[in-house]
Amino acid sequence: MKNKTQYHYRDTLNYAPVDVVKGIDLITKSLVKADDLAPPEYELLPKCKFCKHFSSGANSNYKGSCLGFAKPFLAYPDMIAKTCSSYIKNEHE
Amino acid sequence: MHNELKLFPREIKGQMSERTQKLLKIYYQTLSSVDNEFPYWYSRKYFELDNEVAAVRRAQALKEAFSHLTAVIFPGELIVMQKTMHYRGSFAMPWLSEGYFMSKEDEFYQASLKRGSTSADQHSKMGSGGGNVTKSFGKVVSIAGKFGIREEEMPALLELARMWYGKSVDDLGNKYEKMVPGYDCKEKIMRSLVCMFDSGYTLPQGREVINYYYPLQYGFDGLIKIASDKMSEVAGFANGDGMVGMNRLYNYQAIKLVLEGVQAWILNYAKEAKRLEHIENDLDQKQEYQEIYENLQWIAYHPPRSFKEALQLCWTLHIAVLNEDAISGLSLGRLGQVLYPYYENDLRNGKIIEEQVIELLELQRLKFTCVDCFASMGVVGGVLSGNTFNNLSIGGTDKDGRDASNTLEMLMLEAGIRCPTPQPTLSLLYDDKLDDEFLLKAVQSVKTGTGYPAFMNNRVAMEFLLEQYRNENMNIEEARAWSIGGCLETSPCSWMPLKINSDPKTYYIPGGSGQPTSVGVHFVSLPKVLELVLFDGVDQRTSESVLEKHNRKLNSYDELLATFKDYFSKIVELLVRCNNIQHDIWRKNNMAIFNSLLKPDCLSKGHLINELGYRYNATFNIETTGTINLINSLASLKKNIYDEKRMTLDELKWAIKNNCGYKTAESINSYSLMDQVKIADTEGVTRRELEHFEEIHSLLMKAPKYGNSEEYVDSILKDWEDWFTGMCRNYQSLYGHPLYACQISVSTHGAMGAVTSATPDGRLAGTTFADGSLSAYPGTDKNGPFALMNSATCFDHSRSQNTQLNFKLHPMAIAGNSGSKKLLELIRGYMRRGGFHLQFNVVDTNMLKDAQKHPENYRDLLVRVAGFTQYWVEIGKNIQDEVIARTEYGEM
Repeated sequence: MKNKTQYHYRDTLNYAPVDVVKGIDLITKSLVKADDLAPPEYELLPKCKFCKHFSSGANSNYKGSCLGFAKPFLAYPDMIAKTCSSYIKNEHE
Repeated sequence: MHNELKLFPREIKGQMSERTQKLLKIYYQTLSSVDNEFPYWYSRKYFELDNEVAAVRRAQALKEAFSHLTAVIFPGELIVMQKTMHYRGSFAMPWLSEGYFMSKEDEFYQASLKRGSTSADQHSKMGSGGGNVTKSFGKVVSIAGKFGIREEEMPALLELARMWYGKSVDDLGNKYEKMVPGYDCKEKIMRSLVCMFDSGYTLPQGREVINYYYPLQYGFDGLIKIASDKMSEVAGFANGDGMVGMNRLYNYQAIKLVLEGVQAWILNYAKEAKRLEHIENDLDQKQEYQEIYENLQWIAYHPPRSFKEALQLCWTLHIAVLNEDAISGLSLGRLGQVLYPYYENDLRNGKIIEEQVIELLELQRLKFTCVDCFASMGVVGGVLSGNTFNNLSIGGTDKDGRDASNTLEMLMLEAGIRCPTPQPTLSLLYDDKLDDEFLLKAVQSVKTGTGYPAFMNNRVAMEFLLEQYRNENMNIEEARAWSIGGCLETSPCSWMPLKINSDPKTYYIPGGSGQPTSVGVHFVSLPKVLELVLFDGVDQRTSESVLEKHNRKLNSYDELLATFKDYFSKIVELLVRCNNIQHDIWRKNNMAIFNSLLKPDCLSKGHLINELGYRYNATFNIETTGTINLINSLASLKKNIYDEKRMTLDELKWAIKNNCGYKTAESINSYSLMDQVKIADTEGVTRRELEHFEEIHSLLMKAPKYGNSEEYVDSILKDWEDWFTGMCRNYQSLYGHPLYACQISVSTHGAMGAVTSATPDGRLAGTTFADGSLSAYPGTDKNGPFALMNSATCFDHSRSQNTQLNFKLHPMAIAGNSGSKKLLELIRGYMRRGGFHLQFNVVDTNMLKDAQKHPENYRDLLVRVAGFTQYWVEIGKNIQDEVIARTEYGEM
């Protein structure tokens, strides 16, 4: 059986971000750090970096392009895409 | 030792619900956080729509941004939704201004510095405690001196900001204001902090009262239908208005789009509540998510059916307006009177009990306390002290002139006592008709030390409104609907006929109907203008020639005063012209759409704020800071130089240039006069010179001071007020209405004091000015509170939008029932003499000193600053020093 990938809390759906460094684990209700690893069963939060339409930038790890709409536009890997109508999860995620 | 001081606690302390306590605990640990969602989607759509009609283009961008915000609900919340995904979140609006949050080396930042729009940032101090992110750490970048943003988001934010370069209100406004004759002088005025801010791109809206009526009455679907019907009705008709009559079609389209955007935002939250319900194991929490889902799903389309739904809707509307533009001081108005029909209905039908209402109101307080506004360090630190002034008014009179207070407002006071938080602060619209029980409840709240409610004079405000809005046909009935906008800006409102559920009764509820009331010329430093007068136009800090030389010898007091008025008038004229241009650019490209549709009479007229759609548009002002230091300085000059000739003007100027023989406030890191340190004779000055400085400074300090009921100085104040409040009316806003005077300091007395040399009243260089406009300079009011009140009421307060008087009382001074009654009598006395505003810090000064030394022990300590309440640890040191130094009345 394939091991499930463990994501950072801030990349999961069970994380409510209180601020830029911490949030609440919506299952345990405890305060957790954004960059700590979440339990493996926690589902992935849609973000540009997990989307098929995201193209990484050449000069920056933190910038890229979104090709999911008629006109390409700036995008960045960490952008939440929960409400994005063009989000399609990359198969390898 | 820290515990050697004997500290007097405040007499009254409430107990909030366990739920509120848990959520407040989270707040105490929360950092002010910024993310890119809103600016990203807004910019993306905006730049897609070249050549679209401006209002529609902006509306599309707003719709895109609202509908893409990530919905986050925190466990335990009953009132949900916040500005962004973070508990205490905000975001940049580069379409307004972008230079101030770029790195200091960036060319855009340097350009802002040159034109003076970031000068205030350099002299503003942000409290380093609480949720302020004043330094970068780990993966967090500190931005604009207070906010934290993830390093993963920063490059994209800068990229977005660059897209707006040359297109933002700031940049475009600057392009055109340069065409005003004398613009170079304006830059110097801003750089030297004679004026603290431009108006049109910093906080272009706010200091006004929101109006919740239309969504309460019609619901979102109802409003979308109204907009659609109106589009059919007006399409292709100019309606006799060849200038903007045709715009009504585009405006209704814009209204419809933004309504759809906000509706989608609410529905995203409903969806999230449903998702959480599914994954939740705790049955009570599961049930709460279910109720949240049902409430949101309903109010996204329909008028609310209950108190809880109405409260949720009002909160949602409030933050929707706050997300539309950079706003401080969007006041709730008399929310207790707006929501009373729902409360009364639910109570009568057994749907709710008082304790539940109080808990909801506590939770609402917490929500408002989480509201941040992303703006420059100078604005957020130098003016707002991190507060955003969402002010809730209570009391006043109803449409027919009767006592308007009600039991829900009593519960709002109770919630404020149990859950002491900075926001919403409370303002009591005082009228002699108000019931004693209500007033004593308010006094009880004051005794908690939160500083709220402040007391504002109903009669004085109405007199001001009737005069200012005479040309827009305000009548007495309408004047009675007023509320405070911002911290203490008298704002025009209207009565709206509300019907709820199957109740046959029509309730007339008050709601805002005017434009932002504190825009135009922001904060002109009166002591700094005096410095320019004394030194022939030269700023003593930078040695820059700010104004053209007046070349007068100032041989008489009259000549001095005339020169002061000339300089002040020149400054005001230049600032009015430049700020009118900035606001004009704002209205062309960045007009309020959501806020507009809420305000009468935009929906019926089809015109937004930019086309005078609001009922009241004569709302622009001229703000001043440092009134009392100016008045005391004029009294000192008159006495020492002209009447009694105790020194020459040259001697005085020599002393001022040398700070009367004292070190700089900055070098000793204290901004209070009482802490200043003299230079030693080993530090480049002779003993004789030091003696001379001391002699001069002593004379300056001994000169008559405001606040002691002394005719010599009070007559100077009266003359100034009569002239200043009159001269404002000589200037017109871009909307073609006369300006008025606005006399509050907010926190500008700190930053502006920091750049001003010693003043002829004995105040030393760099120290903070007296707060408000009528508070005595610390330690100079020697004759007790009633003498101070006498001085403060020596002129007609109704000629100005506001005045501001702060008292600091030791808790012992008003202890027990007799203390409460004495305090009420003091308030009554001031109001009956025609004073406009009065507020109290009930605190032991020793506690404040202890809190300054040991901030870690005082995360929850609240103090009243100047029109707002704030956590001690989030206030800059210059303001902390000033609050400590204020005269503390130990008895009444």
